[in-house]
Amino acid sequence: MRLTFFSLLLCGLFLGCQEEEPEDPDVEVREVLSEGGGFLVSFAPNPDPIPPIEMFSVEFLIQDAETGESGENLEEVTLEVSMPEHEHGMNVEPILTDLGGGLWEASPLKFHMTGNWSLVLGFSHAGNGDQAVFEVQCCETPE
Amino acid sequence: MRFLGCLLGLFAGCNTHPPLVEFEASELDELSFYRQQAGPPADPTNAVSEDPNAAALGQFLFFDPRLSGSGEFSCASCHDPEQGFGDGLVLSQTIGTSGRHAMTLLNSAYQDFFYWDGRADSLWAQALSPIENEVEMGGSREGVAALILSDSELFEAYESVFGTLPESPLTAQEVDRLFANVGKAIAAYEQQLVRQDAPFDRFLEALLAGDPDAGSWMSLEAQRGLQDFIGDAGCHFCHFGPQFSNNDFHNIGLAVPPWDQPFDGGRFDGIPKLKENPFNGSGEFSDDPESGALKIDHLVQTAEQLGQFKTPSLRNLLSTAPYMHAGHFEDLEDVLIHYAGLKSEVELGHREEVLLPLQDSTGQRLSDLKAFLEALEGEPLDASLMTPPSSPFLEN
Repeated sequence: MRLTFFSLLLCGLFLGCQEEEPEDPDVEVREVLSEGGGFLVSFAPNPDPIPPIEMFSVEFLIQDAETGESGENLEEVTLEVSMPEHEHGMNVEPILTDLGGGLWEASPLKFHMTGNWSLVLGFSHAGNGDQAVFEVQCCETPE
Repeated sequence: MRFLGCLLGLFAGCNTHPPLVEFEASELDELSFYRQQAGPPADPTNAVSEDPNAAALGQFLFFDPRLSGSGEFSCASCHDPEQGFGDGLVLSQTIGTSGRHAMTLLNSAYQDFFYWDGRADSLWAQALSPIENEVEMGGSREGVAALILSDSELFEAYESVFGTLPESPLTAQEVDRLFANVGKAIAAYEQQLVRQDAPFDRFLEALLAGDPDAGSWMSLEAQRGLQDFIGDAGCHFCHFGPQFSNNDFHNIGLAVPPWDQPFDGGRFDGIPKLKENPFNGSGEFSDDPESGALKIDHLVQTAEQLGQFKTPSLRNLLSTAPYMHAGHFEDLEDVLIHYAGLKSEVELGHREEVLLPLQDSTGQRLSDLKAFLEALEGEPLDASLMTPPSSPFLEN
């Protein structure tokens, strides 16, 4: 019995610490693994938090998921922004600019309604299409 | 002792605070986006948008019927101060009947786009087109230039704001520049037409400050309406922010009344008109074409915009009936009944998906929402802004 308790305690110490904390649904995920699994893509709006009904820009950093190296030689980079529940997108068309080093800027964007927005950054690498999807809630109250 | 205290409380009012709906933290967060703004932002495409001398000239011109072809109509004919700077008509009537209901000019300086289809991107560009519209004022830019050149007071007031005019006769481009400046002066006047400090604004400030007497500013009915407005009713999706408008365009499934144009494309048609307008913010008469271009260049025209019309501000509604782009509804009750009976199939385009019919079996819900809308009536404008001035100069 004492052994069992000790074993459980040890298991707890070694296994329990590795348990991931449950995701807080209110915390926006700003770094995702691309759907193909090859790239880590992070998202940084400017200004931050995103102001409702005002123009803003977004920088996407694309890195190799294994090596952490910047995602170079990406092709056909596209951005689709929509409100899935509303079945419509934005009323402005952003331009995507390659800033180098795996960094891409999209500008201008404008969330003209509050609610859930979906940003899908599509790209291809070595002929394989991939995409990263960000779910963004419009909008947080500024501090 | 405790019993005595309670008795005293009952009679003397232990809780003398007016009734207050309980708002959750997330609702207070949402409401913080609705705090009223200090004043309209300056328009970078109009260098005189905040110049009081330009506003004085603009006010004089706003009421001056000599800007029209026949000398009968002024801007004030359809934007009458006594009618909330609208005209109270279903469709505006001057020389002829216009295709749309006149929008109020109150608080319009906070907006990004003008007209129901957003075909103008500044107050000054908006002010110019009725002057030359054949069914509105029926005038011309050449006629306006001739008026400024021939009226010594107007001439002096114009030059004091915009600088010396070129020698007559003016070239076509000089006439266009003068005409644009007339629009900018009128816009400077319209920039001052702001009615705020509504009971809602006072309620909100008190509520966000944690004042237990916040309820004194707005009835319980109106407070419930507000809670529904930013909640289940979904009004806030489009009527968002301090002016209760997201400055955008939506299809709310309005029927086409017999007096309306059968296939009014709304925003779909407004975008090319805006981009082609020589007086738009990115054009040669703009005082900041770069910022003007930022607003226009990235706009896209999509089929989704068919039948979309501008989200109007909900401030000061009581003085601006009837409602909607073709004056569909006589009063606020009719507007709310429309939202209660929304249909999925619409006559043109595609209705905003997020809108759901307002379920209201008792009538209480619509009544609450109406009470809330009535609490958005701001303080009256300064009386000096409501009448034609005696001269185009700033009075001391």
